[in-house]
Amino acid sequence: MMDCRTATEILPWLLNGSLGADERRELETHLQDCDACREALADTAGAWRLFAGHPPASLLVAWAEGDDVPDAELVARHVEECPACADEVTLIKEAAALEPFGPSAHRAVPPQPVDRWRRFAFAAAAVAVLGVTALVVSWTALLPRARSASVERDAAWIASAQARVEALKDEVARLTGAGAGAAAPLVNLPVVELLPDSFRMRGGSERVAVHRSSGAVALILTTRTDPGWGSYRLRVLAADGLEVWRSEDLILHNTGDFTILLPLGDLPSGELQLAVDGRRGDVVSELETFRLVIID
Amino acid sequence: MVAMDQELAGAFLAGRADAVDSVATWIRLAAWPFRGRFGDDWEDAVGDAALQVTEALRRGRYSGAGTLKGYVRRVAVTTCLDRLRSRRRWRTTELIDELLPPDSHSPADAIEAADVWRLARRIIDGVPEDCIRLWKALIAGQSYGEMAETFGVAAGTLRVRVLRCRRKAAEIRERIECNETRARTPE
Repeated sequence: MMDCRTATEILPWLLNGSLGADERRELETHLQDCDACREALADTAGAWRLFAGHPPASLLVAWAEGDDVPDAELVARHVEECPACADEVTLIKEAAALEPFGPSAHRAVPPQPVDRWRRFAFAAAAVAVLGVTALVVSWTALLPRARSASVERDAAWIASAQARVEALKDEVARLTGAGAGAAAPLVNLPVVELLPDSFRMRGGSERVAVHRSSGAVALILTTRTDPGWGSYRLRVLAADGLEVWRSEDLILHNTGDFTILLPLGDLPSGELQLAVDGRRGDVVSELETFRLVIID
Repeated sequence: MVAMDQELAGAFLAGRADAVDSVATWIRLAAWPFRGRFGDDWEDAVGDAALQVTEALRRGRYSGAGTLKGYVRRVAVTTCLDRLRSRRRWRTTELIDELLPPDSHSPADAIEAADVWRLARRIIDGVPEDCIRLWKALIAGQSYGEMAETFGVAAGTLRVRVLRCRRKAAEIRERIECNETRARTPE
């Protein structure tokens, strides 16, 4: 039979879940019959809340977005000391960087027909905004992670980013038919991050369009794909459903996305469907689809 | 723009399809960075965020300062963070959960929660550094055996130290609260 002194002493480890099964059972039995130890449990939970305390989520969001919050210095000090909160700040900034992707308030009503030059202007603006946003997302993700205490995770993330750059370089070399050293650089390419169709709501997201004169587009396909597939491939389908381009052996980066440099030269105009398939042994399954519009 | 946003908020609450689509897309976008953390529970988190946004708009909490899109994002992100945090809470059985006072995480309690956190910071600032290290190891999930090894003391000594730290924090809290009460009381 456990006494009150032992029970009170080991209460913190009951909360952190590290007590052995027998000790935990004995303590739980004791707590059911002992008012004083139940009071001590409530006190221990109170101390836990104190020592594990974080700024409320709404305060952290306001601080991360640069609002004038009371005790901003206190929040800053806490974020510096607390890896969990630093990670949350990264998430807050990533969500803020994604905001331009969504429909704006004035687009909630059905859009009116627009003339050709306006469509072109919108497409160009969309490509520019998406390109800049993709860069901002990468930037905001990289900086806080570089400061993170988890060195291993940082190393993996940076290695993954480097692998993405190398993969794109290889693709450029392949497309230009020359070795990486001899290839003429491709410049001013639009960089587009696409969200999968499974993410979009009915009529809720703008179509992403690129102009053929860009020559190629660097795509970041953001997914929620299961990393357990053996290999991945991308198929590009025209509006009539015919496959017009394919790339095998895509790598699912640990940031949950695929990167592709898509040459636009021979692809048909209009809306294309991009399908990512997973392969495990003989089983091939379509995992995600994306949309991209090519404008002449 | 403000009038347009207010109109859209009204249309959303009235269930107009295009407004619901827009707000739902904003919520999903706001929750998108959390998909890796929630895994299969991500859709539940989105649903939870949608409930909080609807509740906030219904209660007229959107004042028109800033865009509706930004407001929806903040409410959705706050909800996701709260959900994420609740996963990091102590790990224990249902039986013990019933014995503990509940946590309050509603955005409606944000001001109160901020006050509680500021008080907590003041208390922690008054606690010896050793106590903070002990409790951090505890919160990180170390058993008392592991902690005894880390801190180079016998398990029994370590358990008593943790208990003393808890009592010390309670003392400081009592002192701060007592001083505040005295300061508020007219002479």
